[in-house]
Amino acid sequence: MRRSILSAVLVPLVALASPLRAEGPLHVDITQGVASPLLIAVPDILSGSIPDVAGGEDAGAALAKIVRADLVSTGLYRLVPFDGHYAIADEIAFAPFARAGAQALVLGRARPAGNNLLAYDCALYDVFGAHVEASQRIIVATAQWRRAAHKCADMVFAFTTGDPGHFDTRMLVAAQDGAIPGQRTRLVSMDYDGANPTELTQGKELVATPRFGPGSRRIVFLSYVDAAAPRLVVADLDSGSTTALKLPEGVPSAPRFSPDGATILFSLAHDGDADIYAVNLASNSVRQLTSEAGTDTSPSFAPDGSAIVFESNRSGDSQLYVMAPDGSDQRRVSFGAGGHASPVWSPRGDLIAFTQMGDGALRIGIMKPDGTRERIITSGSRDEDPSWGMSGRAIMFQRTAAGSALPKIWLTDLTGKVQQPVAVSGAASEPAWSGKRP
Amino acid sequence: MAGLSIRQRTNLADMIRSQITPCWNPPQAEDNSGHVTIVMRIRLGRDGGVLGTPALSRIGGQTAANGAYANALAGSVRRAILRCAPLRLPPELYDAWADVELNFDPRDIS
Repeated sequence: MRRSILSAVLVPLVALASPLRAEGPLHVDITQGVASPLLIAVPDILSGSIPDVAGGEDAGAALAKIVRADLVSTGLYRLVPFDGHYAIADEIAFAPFARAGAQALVLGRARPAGNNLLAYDCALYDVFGAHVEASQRIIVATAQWRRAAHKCADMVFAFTTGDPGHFDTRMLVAAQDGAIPGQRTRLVSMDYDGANPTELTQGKELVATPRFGPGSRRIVFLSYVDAAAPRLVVADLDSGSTTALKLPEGVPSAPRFSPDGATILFSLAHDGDADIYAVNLASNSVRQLTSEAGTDTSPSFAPDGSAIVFESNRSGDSQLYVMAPDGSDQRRVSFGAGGHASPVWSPRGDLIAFTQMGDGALRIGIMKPDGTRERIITSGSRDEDPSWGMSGRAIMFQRTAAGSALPKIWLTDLTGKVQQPVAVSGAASEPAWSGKRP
Repeated sequence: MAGLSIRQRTNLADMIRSQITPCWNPPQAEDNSGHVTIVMRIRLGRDGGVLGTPALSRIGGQTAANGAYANALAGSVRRAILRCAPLRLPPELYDAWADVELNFDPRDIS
């Protein structure tokens, strides 16, 4: 009680005193900025050759090159060129980078760490304040040396955008040999930038629509060992075990994991009608979610599991619909020009990517989950099968050039201004981009 | 500071705003970023340079979900201030701009 009386007396005194003294700091509201790429420098810091790293090239230079490629591919950074290089023990002055216009500086120092390990000290500096904004000592097996650069770029991306980076990730593609008919497809897993490819299947069977579960360990794909009766197969990439799912009669397609990995959504065609189903992987119980006439396919969960987007031609042409996880409350969300297909919900939850069909072309587009703010972000003649990076800031897709029968994998930012092919040898389609690697 | 008219204070604020705005490159906000605002208190020397390190006074609108975005926004604000310094301001009014509170609010960024 005594305390409250005291403060009641003090408050008016303070209020009286303040206008007589200084008026306090000058207050300035800043509500606009310039959303432009962050100017960043990633100079080479030479480490010399390190066994089993970069094929004997200078490891520091090879790693810096990967960090630069990762950052530039997002469209969110612009590299400030820097001629020359540093040695690992050099003191690095900020002034030349500030003069060159760099706002941020990434310094990575590579050293052997014994036992076939590589240590990469990665630090992000604020050039003007001359202080460390983030730093990390990254240790990887020398055989996986490229991951050190991807982890460094992930740190920079996370600190400057607030979203997790998508660089230390894997990608699955259906790689194609030969032409139809008699074409073989192999499932190939690789780093997101195409490096370190690993064959998962031998090309004896036809495979399609690979998808990652949460993280990067489990996958699901369609296997055509018996071409007339394709099966959904779940594989564990660490153990190598595979399980063919027991499903009701019909032809399954378009599988996709739920965000918790417990369920796989898929489309099942039976008697000329295709509907969306969910199979619980623990109990193997199967539940039908849609039953409208027409083809319902390509289901994809929202990252919080609260809704499912899918493609249906129930209104005539293919359009996107959203429903609750139990199949209730189905409503159309795509109303832009042309047809809309193969929707995928962003890991951020804020957008849905899809393939737009119109004027004889296929293009990649994005929209908000309620169908507003639709934007078409690619302009190829046949761009399809979008797959999100875990940052929600980049999309991998399949592009088939006009007059060419061989699809390739491309990467785009969300504006469509920064697009590049991913270095995958041969023809590849249906990219699936993993989540975080362990 | 005493005797400065409201108009003079407004003009000073406009001068600071017009110099810092082009240097501010905020991270892209999305629906789930929320509405985060950052207040920085800076002390300026007579040459318009920033004395010491800009101090973060307040973060508004930070939630469990947007912490990483708020950090990235704070980083962009600190870079903006340091990148734009020294500020060009009328020396005769130095007492009025020696101590500045900058309220960064990304509401008008398209």
